[in-house]
Amino acid sequence: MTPPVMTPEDRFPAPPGHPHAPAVAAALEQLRFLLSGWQWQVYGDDLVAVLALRDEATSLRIWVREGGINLDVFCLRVPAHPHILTWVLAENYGQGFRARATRSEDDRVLIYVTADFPLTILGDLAQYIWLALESELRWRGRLMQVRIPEEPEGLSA
Amino acid sequence: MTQTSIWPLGDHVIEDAPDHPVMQAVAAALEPLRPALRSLTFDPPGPRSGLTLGLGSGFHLISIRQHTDDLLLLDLPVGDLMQTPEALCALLERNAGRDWAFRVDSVTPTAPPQCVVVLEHLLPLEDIPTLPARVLSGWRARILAQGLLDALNGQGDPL
Repeated sequence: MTPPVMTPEDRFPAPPGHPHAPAVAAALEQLRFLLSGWQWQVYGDDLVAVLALRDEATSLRIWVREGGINLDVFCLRVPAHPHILTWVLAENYGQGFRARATRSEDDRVLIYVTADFPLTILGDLAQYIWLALESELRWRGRLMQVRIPEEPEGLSA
Repeated sequence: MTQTSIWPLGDHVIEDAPDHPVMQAVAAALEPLRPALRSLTFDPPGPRSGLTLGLGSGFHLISIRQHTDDLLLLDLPVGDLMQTPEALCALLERNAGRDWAFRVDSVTPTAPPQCVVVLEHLLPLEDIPTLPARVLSGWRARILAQGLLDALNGQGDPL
């Protein structure tokens, strides 16, 4: 069966009727060169946009609530090893974009990079999206270098 | 260039391309990246034309220069690295099959000696229209490589 052809309108649908959607859409248009598509969802008073990154197997979620904006980017899937998770938590100290994680079914952990901002940044949202992507790359670049130490031999003897 | 930058430009400038066919083609190809640019300056006229652009919050500099009659050389400085065999081998191992390859520029005779690591990419002139994707892949490679350099310099693991 031939897969359906995605038109630009399919991949970049128009924003929904939400008071903050025009501002978010304007930011996304500025960064369209980075994106392969976006999706919109409205949950009650909340607005969510999920961006798919061009040439990158990652996505970024923008969640606009009454109290502020959350930016959340998928970073890396890592082993659920205490050394790695301790490293992540230690690295969180003082970071603007912090790491969070969810456990997957195969004893691995999905690391995301996340930050909350006040609604006043809406006019500069494109800049904050760019910052989120840079932070994710920095986190990924460092995480890729963390090595699980080998168990000392003879401990159990 | 017509779109506005997402960054405050301050004193930094976005120059127009000089009257040079390759640089005009490069500038036209870079147009989609305009919102992300922090600066764009062209070299004075010379035998090999070139430009330098600044990108992103870290003001990462990327130079694009005519390397030969058929090729552009894209350069992205990454940072300093201790000049040890282990560190240099680690860079060389990562050059296999990569679009962006590590090379070393100047060496500072400190103890231990430090060298400047650069990521580079060769682009045929006929592929100038693909420059935005190449520049973005270089920008990603450069930020990811910072973690590698930190680890090789012994600054990567706080535990």
